Amino acid sequence: MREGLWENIETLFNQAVNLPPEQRFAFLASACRGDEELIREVSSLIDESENGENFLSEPVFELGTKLLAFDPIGLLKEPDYASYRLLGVLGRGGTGVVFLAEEKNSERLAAIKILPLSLAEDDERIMRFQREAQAASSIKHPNFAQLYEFGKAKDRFFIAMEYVAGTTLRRLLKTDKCDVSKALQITAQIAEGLHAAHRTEIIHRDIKPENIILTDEGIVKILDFGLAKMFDSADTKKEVSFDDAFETSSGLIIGTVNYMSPEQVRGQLLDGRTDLWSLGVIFYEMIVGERPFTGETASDMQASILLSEPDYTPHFNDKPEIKKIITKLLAKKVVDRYQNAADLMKDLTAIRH
Amino acid sequence: MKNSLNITELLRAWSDGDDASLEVLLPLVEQELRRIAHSYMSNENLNHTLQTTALVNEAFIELNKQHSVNWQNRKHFYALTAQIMRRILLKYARDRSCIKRGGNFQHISLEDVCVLTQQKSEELIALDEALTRLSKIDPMKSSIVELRYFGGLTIDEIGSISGYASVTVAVHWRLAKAWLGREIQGKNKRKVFPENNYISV
Repeated sequence: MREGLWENIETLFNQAVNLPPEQRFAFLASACRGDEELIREVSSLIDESENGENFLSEPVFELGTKLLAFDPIGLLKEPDYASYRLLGVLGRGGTGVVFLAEEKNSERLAAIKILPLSLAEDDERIMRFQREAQAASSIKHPNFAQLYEFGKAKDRFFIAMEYVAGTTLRRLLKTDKCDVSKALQITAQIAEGLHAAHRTEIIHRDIKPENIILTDEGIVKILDFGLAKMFDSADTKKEVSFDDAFETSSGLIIGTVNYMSPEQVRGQLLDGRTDLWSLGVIFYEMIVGERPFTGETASDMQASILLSEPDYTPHFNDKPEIKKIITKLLAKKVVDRYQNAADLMKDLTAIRH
Repeated sequence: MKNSLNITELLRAWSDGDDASLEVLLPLVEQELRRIAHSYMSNENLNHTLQTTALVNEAFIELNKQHSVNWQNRKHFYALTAQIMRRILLKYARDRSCIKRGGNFQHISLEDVCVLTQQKSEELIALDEALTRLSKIDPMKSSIVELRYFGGLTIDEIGSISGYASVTVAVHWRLAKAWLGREIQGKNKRKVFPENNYISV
């Protein structure tokens, strides 16, 4: 920048910006005495200033504080982890901490879930994890997040999976009301992902809006296939995902039962149809804005899942085809439900055309 | 108390323009900030927002206790905090943007997350470069931006720690904000149309 230019810019900017807009040009033309560079500089700065808010309007201090604070298990100090380099914390839940990471050789991004230390002591669960992870990693489908590996490093077990950038369906449901065509689209994509997994006999067991990601390109991805419910004890009756579990002040862990199927509530043997039920709950929630089964306590909710019928009026009065699909997804008896995701996909396609 | 002389001297040296002392000071203060921020964040009330002044004051008091730092005023300390924030955010932003990949991610996939979006990362990197240029043209403005944007101080707070009237700070801030906004946008425009000559209208 040439000598003295900045001081001139500053003086003229501060004078001009306080003038009524229609007088500014004349003022600058006369004050700059034909110095085109100066006119250009000052007027572009005024334009920017008049545009009002730019990103500087919102300080990043809070974000900085959060980043400062966020190294919950102290791995970021030495970010080399297995074949990855940890870049930062994505989130933290009952199941451990999730990091954004980069594969050292390929630069491929990954989400690394570091499991709690307590898990390492449970050989049986580790075995189950390994089996499930191996099976799940063999499936590649655009509608679910690819599982890369299950491993151990620095005394902790971890799951590495495809990093999916987007927003969770939970967040979408909080901010937007889902219109019918979007709800159909999302449901159809989840169904496709389920179809691919169920064909290889992998069931999810924990389909819920927190596990569904929508990318900016409109692709729906299911997270945590085959692993979501592995965190609890082998006792299936207590199978509750800790993913969105929260610790109450008394230290009690509460997981969500909202999306559990009746057979899950009963602790019975599960197959792919349990995922279809959960998808039914999500589909209903997207259309209505509320969940079909509610209750003050987990037990009340479980009772509602087993016994009560969802309220279909008035939201479905003008959508009989969708009501029919949801009713079939939410059939209490598995034999009355859609028997597979393919059948559901057929019915969804019929509506969409 | 054995470090007391050290830190006081380091801080004085730094405020006199000795950048090398900053390298020693930073990790010390950063560690303290990290500890305090962490205890705030893991507090029961997760929605609790940590104010700049609260964080900085607590860090200041703690460091004072440990090292009996005799800092004449807290101005340097606020500036230091703002610089630490800038560094940390930049580190994350660079980590993120050095990864070449298709598509841009505006959102992070998991709930209740505190990470940088791709957009924010790019803004931060561009801002950091522009701010470095600004500091050469007009150091006062760049330090106001640092305190305001990275340090989270209000115009009035900046006024009271720097000894300037708030209106004066506001006037500097307005031009700095416009200049940085223009610089960064111009850069993005060039990125979008690198071969400007070939675009026929």
